Amino acid sequence: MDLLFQNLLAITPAQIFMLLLGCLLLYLAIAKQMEPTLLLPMGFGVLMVNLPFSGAISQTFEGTFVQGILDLLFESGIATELFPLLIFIGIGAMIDFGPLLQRPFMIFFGAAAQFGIFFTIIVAMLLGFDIRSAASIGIIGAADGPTSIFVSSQLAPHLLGPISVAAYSYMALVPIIQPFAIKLVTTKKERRIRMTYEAATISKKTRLLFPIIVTFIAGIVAPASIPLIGFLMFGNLLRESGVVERLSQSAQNELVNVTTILLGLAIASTMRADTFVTPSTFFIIGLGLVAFIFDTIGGVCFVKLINLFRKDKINPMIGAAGISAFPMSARTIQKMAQKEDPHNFVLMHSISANVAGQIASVIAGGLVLAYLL
Amino acid sequence: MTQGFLLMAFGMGTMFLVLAILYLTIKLLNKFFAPKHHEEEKQ
Repeated sequence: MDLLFQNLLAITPAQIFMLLLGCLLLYLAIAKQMEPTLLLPMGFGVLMVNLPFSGAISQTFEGTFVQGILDLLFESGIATELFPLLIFIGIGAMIDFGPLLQRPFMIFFGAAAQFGIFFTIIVAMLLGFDIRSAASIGIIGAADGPTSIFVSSQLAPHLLGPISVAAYSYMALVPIIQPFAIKLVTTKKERRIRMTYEAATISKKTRLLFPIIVTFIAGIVAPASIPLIGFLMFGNLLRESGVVERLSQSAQNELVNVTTILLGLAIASTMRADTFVTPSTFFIIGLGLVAFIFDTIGGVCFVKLINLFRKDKINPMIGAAGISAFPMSARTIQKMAQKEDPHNFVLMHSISANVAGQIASVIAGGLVLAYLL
Repeated sequence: MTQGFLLMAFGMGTMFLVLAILYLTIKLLNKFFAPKHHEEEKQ
């Protein structure tokens, strides 16, 4: 009985805060279905980590070191970069690059919509973060969970917890964040611009060669990006080859599912009261929002710039779809377009830009690593 | 701060360069490997 009270009384206010945060993550995952595949394991992991004297994390009892299972998962799966890279194989196997191959010009919108990453890095440095921490925070703007985790695990592993929470939370909030940011920089007339759609077919050879060529080009320019791009494109080659259907299905389902469970729990091991409840966590959450807003603004303004030189205008909202949150961003843009004009269909264009964002975000992550490592 | 601006210039500049190369590559792939008639029907 004494032991029971001893454990209960050992709870600190910071641990209570973290336990409430764990419950909040579980609530968002279950009741609101916000990125539940990652937030649910993370939320439960936070509960396990922040109970007093938790055996789930490494502890030293009376001079004896006891390895915690969640720390072991972190060291073997995230510190080694293994989990995010395995997830990239699955994501690659899920992506259909067809819409981008049909409209290759959209690839530039993917680049423009990464502006928020670099803008946020500068803002974070103004707030006093060193360049490696600032880059890890800025990469939240990639709107790509595994890329954020991969980059921050190498540049600022101590910030991994808040960065993951921010990245996945804001990805789920894209339908709220993007309309707000788009309306800041567009007029109603611009949002009503209609675009013509011409269906085009892509040959099997093009689909097969694309992942190989992307890996080659990105690898030559920034060798540090090879694990990121390479695993993504390897997954895509599994899909497009057509000869390893079982492997492609396994990558899309079993591999991603198992790794996501382990990834969520491993990230939770970094969300301990003593290291998480700090002012920097709140800055990171705020800066993540800045990154998403300026990604959107960067994409929209780029299209507006291009429109100055084009006869056939592009709906500026398409530029906002150049982030990696697929297909949520493309759907959000279509909804906005139809809200302004019920007969405006821009979904196919916004999907092309969205696919471009998936490639560009990974390249941006690789370039940040190439510059700083 | 200077490092931040340099990273922005390097990051955005290199990304546009890489994606411009990819754009030209896709254009070439689409030109040289245009789908044959039976492939179009299959798709």
